[in-house]
Amino acid sequence: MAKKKESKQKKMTTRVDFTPMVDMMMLLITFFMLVGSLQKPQAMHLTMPAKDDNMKAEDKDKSKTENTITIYLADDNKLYYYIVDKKEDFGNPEFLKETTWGKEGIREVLRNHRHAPTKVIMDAKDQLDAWFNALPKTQQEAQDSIYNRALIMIKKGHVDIVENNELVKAKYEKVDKDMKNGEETNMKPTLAVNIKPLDNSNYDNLVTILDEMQICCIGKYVIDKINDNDMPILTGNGIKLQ
Amino acid sequence: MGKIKIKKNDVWIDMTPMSDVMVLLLTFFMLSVNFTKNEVVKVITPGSTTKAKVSSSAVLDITIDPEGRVLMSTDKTVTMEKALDQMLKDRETSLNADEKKTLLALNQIGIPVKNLPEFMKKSHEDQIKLVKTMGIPTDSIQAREDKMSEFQLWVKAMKNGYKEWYNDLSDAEKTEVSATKLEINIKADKETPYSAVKLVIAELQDINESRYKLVTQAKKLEE
Repeated sequence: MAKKKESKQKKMTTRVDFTPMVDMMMLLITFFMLVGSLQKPQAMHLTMPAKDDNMKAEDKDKSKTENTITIYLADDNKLYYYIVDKKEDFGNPEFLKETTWGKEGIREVLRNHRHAPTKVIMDAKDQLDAWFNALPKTQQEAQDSIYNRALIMIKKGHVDIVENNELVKAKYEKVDKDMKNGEETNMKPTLAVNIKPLDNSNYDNLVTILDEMQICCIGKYVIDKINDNDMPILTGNGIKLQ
Repeated sequence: MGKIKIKKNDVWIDMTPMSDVMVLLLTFFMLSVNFTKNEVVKVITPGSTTKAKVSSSAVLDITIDPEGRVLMSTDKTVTMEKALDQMLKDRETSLNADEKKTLLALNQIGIPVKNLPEFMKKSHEDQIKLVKTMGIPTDSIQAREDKMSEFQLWVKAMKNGYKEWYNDLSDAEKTEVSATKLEINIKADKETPYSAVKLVIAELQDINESRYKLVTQAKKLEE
């Protein structure tokens, strides 16, 4: 009898109700989700010549005509490119071709340009990246300036400084010396791009094409105004200017 | 047949795991959050695959909305204050201390300076509506000898404001501040016509500002 009485003692439940806590958490999470953005915006560097009138006409035409491509950004997200071999031919509306955005379109055009294909440069950059990423983390910081310098060299057309996913130090140093003395030799032809956005194209198009320049490792590109020489090309193809 | 006795079930659900997950999520959001600035005019920036991030301090944001209106903001309130004083002096307009404070609290400048006194008399809702429809004028002021536009004056005033603030710092403080001058960020909407962007860039080139950062969103590279 005495034993039974003992078992009747009330046991305290130690269970805590977490529902209000969860409610509060939900509120806090919703707050943070609404108030913040997860990603920091990316920055694209753009350097323009300080003043238009300071740029001489001869500086503009430094690249050979055959290594040049002119890209027109037009109304309604349309994209045209213009390639001529001889300077005299510039202005003939027949050479204007339309292409699409992205990998299949404009990137393919830039990659397989007849005289200065960027795929050679892109391939060299991939090899340089492979070399750099294979380095241990501690070394990457120390080699950062070499990486950036090598990238400039590749963009200028010195694609032979990389071989089999390795940076060839001897060649790198030779090019480095040549660059300082201003007597570079043995360069692959590199593409020069004239980007000419029409007034009715939008900002998205401009950023996309600048991005394409980075993807294709093009060192020489300029955002230019439409001038009188472009007029016959555009009007000859019935492209709206305004 | 007797009545069917419905057994009462205990519906206690253990919330502990749920609460665990919540805490994890909350910690994640708290650590990764970047507070978005409360700007009056917001734009949707285009995407790019660049890796570089926008610097978080000492920036001058030039916003161009789809209609081509130009607005300006900076993360340094001191700079903005100094620039505002300079602009009021240049354009022979005056505001009292309270009005200045409310104006700075808007975070974005997008009203011609001459209209400011009238603008400050309006209610907050009307002010926001007005900012969305006006923008900083980009046409050159004929009365001025150098034919600068109000937009150019603003950029110069902002740059000088930051420089003044920086020069007033002690040497020890200077080492903590990484940027010696304001960086120009161009923040335009996807749909902004190129002509509007061209105009802003041309105006900046005119006052010898030739380096900018275009603000974009991260986009994946299609392989």
